[in-house]
Amino acid sequence: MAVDGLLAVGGILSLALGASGLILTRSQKQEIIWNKRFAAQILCWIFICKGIANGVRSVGFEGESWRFVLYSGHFTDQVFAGAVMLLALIFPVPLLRTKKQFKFGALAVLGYTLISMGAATFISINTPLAGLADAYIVCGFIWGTVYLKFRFMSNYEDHKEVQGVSDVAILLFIMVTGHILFRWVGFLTRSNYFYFMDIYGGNITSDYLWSMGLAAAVIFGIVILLGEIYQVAQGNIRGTSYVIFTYMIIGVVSHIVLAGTGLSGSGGGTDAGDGYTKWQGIWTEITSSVHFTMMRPILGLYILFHYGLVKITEDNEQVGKTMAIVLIVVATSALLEIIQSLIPLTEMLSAGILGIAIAFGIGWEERSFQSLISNPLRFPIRVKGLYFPELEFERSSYFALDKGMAILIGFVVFLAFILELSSADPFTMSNW
Amino acid sequence: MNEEQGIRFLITDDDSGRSFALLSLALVVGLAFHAYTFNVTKANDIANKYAVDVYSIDFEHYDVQDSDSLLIANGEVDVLQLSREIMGVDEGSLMAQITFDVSYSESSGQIGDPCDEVHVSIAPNGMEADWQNENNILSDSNDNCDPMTLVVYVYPGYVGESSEVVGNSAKYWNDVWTNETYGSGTIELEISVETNEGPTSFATGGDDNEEINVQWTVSFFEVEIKSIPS
Repeated sequence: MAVDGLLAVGGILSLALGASGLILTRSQKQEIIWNKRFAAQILCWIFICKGIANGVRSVGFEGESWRFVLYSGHFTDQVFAGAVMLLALIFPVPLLRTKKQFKFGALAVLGYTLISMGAATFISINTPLAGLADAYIVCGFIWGTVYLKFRFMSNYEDHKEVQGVSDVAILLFIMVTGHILFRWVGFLTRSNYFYFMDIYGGNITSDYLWSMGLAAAVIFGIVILLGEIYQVAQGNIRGTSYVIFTYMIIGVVSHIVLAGTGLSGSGGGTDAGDGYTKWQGIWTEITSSVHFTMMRPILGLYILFHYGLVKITEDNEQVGKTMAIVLIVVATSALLEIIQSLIPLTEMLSAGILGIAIAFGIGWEERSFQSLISNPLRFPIRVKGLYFPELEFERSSYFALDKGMAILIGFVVFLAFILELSSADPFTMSNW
Repeated sequence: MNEEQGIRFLITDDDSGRSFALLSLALVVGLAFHAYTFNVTKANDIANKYAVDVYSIDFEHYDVQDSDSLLIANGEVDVLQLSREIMGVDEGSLMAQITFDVSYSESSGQIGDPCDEVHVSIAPNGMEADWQNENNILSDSNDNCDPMTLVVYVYPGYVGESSEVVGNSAKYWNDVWTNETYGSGTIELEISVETNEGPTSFATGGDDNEEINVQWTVSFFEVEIKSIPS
């Protein structure tokens, strides 16, 4: 499967997760602590943004409407980056601890996003002001600090709820930056395949800021890796330890595979460069591209359900199940397509394996869905309640967030359309 | 705002701010390393990462020649083998092409004895070569004593002329033009003879063999790849 195909599948997965997640958050009857409720909504909008960005980019830049592809992808990525920052500011531990702080924080993030968007529109899409990498630094730092604080909290090493906070911080961090962690060794070894990553190229300051964001993600990843190695040495291994170890080990193998390569296309290393060998291309596809397109929604689904951001009751169980099935079946069939591109299979065999995979996926749903939703992890409000201030928000506040995000995304897509019609030159707008 | 509502509380509670300090230190050190690498160590590489490299590829070729003479009986097939080892050249020599010049004349000494029929062919295996090349001449035959030439192009794409290429790396082009696999193995030239009897053969004892001369020329090359400054 070409990377474009993966982007399209990833777009569908992200949109499916975002849309069905929003339906769940709106339809749930149970009371949920404010930051989890907002986090659920923001997470869903994050996936809607990524769904649009990936879906649009899957069309490619070769067509007549390349400006629309470029601008809409960039703008939705900027909304994505802002939403990720806002998520980190309230979840799992709220840094915005009063209603006033929350309102101010949300407006600051919105203002920052709009300034970035304005810079991309009126100056140039690759101006430093229009960059996207700040999200990696901000959210990585917040989630990294939360991880260290809760994972190493004295006398709470075995406390399920306390350790759960560090788990979700790791998972959120990996969800956002996992594809960058696959290149962590290149950061230390000063390899081209890490330092040549940029967004669009052509502006050395933008390239530097982008690379700095990726470097920050790697630094936080290394800190978490060292923390988990220490915890394993102390006999405190957890499920998330395996996740971070897996990502970092794949990063070591990636260094062996990619050492000596140079340009790898724009972005965070999810594309194979022109000079890549077939094997290097396949490796990039089955690691970074798969994380970027498929693992993100899967991790998002897990976080939503397992940490109680969305509570499933009889009223919304069917939506939740459908959501899980769609994600698993689409991800399974996409993975099969990738395998098929590596190992030539006949169509008959492929269809048979797909049938088995889907049956397995649905079987997994039947077996595991209940355990995933029935016992969502609670946060340590009883023992560490001061970290989790209880705020009361009107129901209309939650709806206002949805409305605001819907309007913002609609606006950026419309803006991209206007720029397309105007035949704008994305890289020299300031010369107009 | 009370103390618990402030961010300072989040930083210092439980661990006196150690987590925050540790991560800040790691970030500062890591980003300093990154800044030095990006702006100093790799500054030139990064500035030129989109520059398309141009390389000149120059060849120097030399030939190795030798000849052999085979006496082949009527109806028999003889085989002449050739390999790097037989030629006594280095295993790493880059082989461009092999040419066999086959010649013979009627050697029976009988008056009016016509030329014999000689068939020469090269089986497209045994040696790693460009067997699909349209210019290969893998077989020939005649009965008029004209010389025959068979040619096998060994190294794909080699035409012997210097060229300039755009893109990829010097290593890539070096790998393209130093593949020692081509020319490995043994090539076999099969020669068969069908004698044609002359009008006086009944009186002189017949024409039952022919001497075939084979001169082989193997072209080797050396390659030099240079980056052309843009």
